[in-house]
Amino acid sequence: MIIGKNLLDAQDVSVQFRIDGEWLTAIDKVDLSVKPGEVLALVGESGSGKSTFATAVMGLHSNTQARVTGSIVLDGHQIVDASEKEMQELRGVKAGMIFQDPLSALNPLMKIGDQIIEAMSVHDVYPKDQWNDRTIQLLKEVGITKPERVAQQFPHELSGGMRQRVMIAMAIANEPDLIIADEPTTALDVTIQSQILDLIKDIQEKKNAGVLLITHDLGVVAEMADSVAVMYAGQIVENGSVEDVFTNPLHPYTRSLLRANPSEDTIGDDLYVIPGTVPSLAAMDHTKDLFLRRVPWMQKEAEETIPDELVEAKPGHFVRGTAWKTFKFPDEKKGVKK
Amino acid sequence: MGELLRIEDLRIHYPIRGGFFNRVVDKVYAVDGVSFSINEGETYGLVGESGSGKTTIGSTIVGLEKATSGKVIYKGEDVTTPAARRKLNYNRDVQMIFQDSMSSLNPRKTIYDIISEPIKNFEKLDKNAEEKRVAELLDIVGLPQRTMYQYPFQFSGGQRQRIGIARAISTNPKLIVADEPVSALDLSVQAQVLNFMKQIQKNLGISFLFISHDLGVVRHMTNNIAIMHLGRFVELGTRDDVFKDPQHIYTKRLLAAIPQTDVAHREENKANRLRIEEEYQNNRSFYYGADGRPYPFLKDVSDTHKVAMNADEFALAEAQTEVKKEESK
Repeated sequence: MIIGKNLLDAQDVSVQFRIDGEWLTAIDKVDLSVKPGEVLALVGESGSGKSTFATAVMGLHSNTQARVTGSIVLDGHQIVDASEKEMQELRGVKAGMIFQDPLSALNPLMKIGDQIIEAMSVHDVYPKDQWNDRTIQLLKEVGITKPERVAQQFPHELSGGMRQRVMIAMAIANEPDLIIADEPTTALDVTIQSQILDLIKDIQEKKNAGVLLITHDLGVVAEMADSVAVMYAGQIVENGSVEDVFTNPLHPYTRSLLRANPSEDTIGDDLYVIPGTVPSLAAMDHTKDLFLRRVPWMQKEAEETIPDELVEAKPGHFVRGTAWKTFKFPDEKKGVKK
Repeated sequence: MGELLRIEDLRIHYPIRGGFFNRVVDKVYAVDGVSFSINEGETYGLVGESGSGKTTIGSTIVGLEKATSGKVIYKGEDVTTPAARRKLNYNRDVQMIFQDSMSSLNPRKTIYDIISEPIKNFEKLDKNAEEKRVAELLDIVGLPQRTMYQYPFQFSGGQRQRIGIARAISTNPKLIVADEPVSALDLSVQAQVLNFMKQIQKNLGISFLFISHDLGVVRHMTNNIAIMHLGRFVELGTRDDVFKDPQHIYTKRLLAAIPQTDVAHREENKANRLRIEEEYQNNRSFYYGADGRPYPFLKDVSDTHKVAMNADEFALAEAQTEVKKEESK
């Protein structure tokens, strides 16, 4: 199962964007690693910085408008100061990406087969005479029943689920060791979603690849991931194995999210509402536990400065700040009167 | 709880034109013979994948789409024609909330204009009374008074959805058709909007037709549920009927596909999902007719629970109607 050194090793990664002449921090000192054969889920609300992190790993941030610092090592290659030419050689070969919206990620004027061949033609993993066979084989691998016909079709002729399968075929065309899936099933129906997730999992197990799965759907995380990193306002607030995080969530944010999720137990009850929204980039003070501003009964703690490093609450289970030790929902407080 | 709205054998077909003189060559059976009823003060869930026709039903109920045949019965009268709707004040009593709050609010109008438009349309209030009413509505949806003269882009997604709700309840409706009201929202905001919908239902006695593809949300919100596939109902019943005792293969398939937050049982869930998927692939012709759609007749499982017939039952039902026809001749 999980063996060997890290496939992706991100240390102290920060990303800043230039907005109106000012550099604002979108991601603050993120440490994350993915081992071969591991599925790491990165969870959080929109605006928490999940996609910004994935974009940094692919080296796709603009040089003039964004500043990436820290160290991102992908299979032995440093990405942070890599030149565009070096990045082109790494993209697709070391890391393949599956995007949320396949219709806008695929070229509408190119046949499916040609697009997959294009992905192979920029690298020399496969020689030219194998491209056609490899395309058909890839389409078969992602569960398309008539690969010869689909290769001759255009994206608009396919259904949403089929397009997402084509995206996956393109992402794995050059046998990358790391697959980054950015909300791969958000636009799909629930039955198609389960098929696509099973497909990603099968491919990952077969190739012993690492997967960085970005999603906001806690159910998807629980079904897919080996480990989970919860992100809020550009920082990791909790990090651990999927069992630990779901059965024994620590950080107030993780616990609030799980309570806000409608499930069988919530019928007839009100869901827990997290008041407020993720703060804007300019309002993020990363020396504090930013989520506590959205916990009405912990306003005093919200002003305290906390250390950058996560605390190891139990072996392999990390959490940010100290608020998790005292955090209780109002109804829990009543219950635990001693 | 009395019945508020009844749908009888509703069909909405779209013609496909082509060939010589652009004649009608075929039809799309968007909705093909569905019947259900919504009670006062309850939430009725309409579930299905994209393209199953659930939004078409919603649009037909509010009168945005014309029914090919069938009836929408409100207060004992058919309201499928504009004249009938006017007579019963139907357009005032039935409102809609849309999925995409950004594109359903006019970006050039202030919140005041947006919320007061239905009030202007149906009630003749003077300026002061109107302003008071808008302030009241903003209060109900939990937005501060000062937001009255702001524009939609100045709000977050959850706030915009609440403005949409304020607009929908401004005419004191009896029924709100909510078409995927939370699918564009984050979990924390979703919880807020769902709680809020439950709360106004409790306070104002509004019924909802809740259209969604998210079974988790539907289970949380609704009393009765209909599952749709390819324009027809495959199963309908109370929440427990559908979730605890699913009968149709499609319902089972949908339920198995919901991602569970239950890490300990995920291997079992996956095995179960694959088993049902296999049964669906192998046994499709048993549950679906030659045209690839579910059989049109429903059979009763219990008083509240109905399911689409399978091949055997359908053949039997067909034979029986043949006999009846013969007899009447």
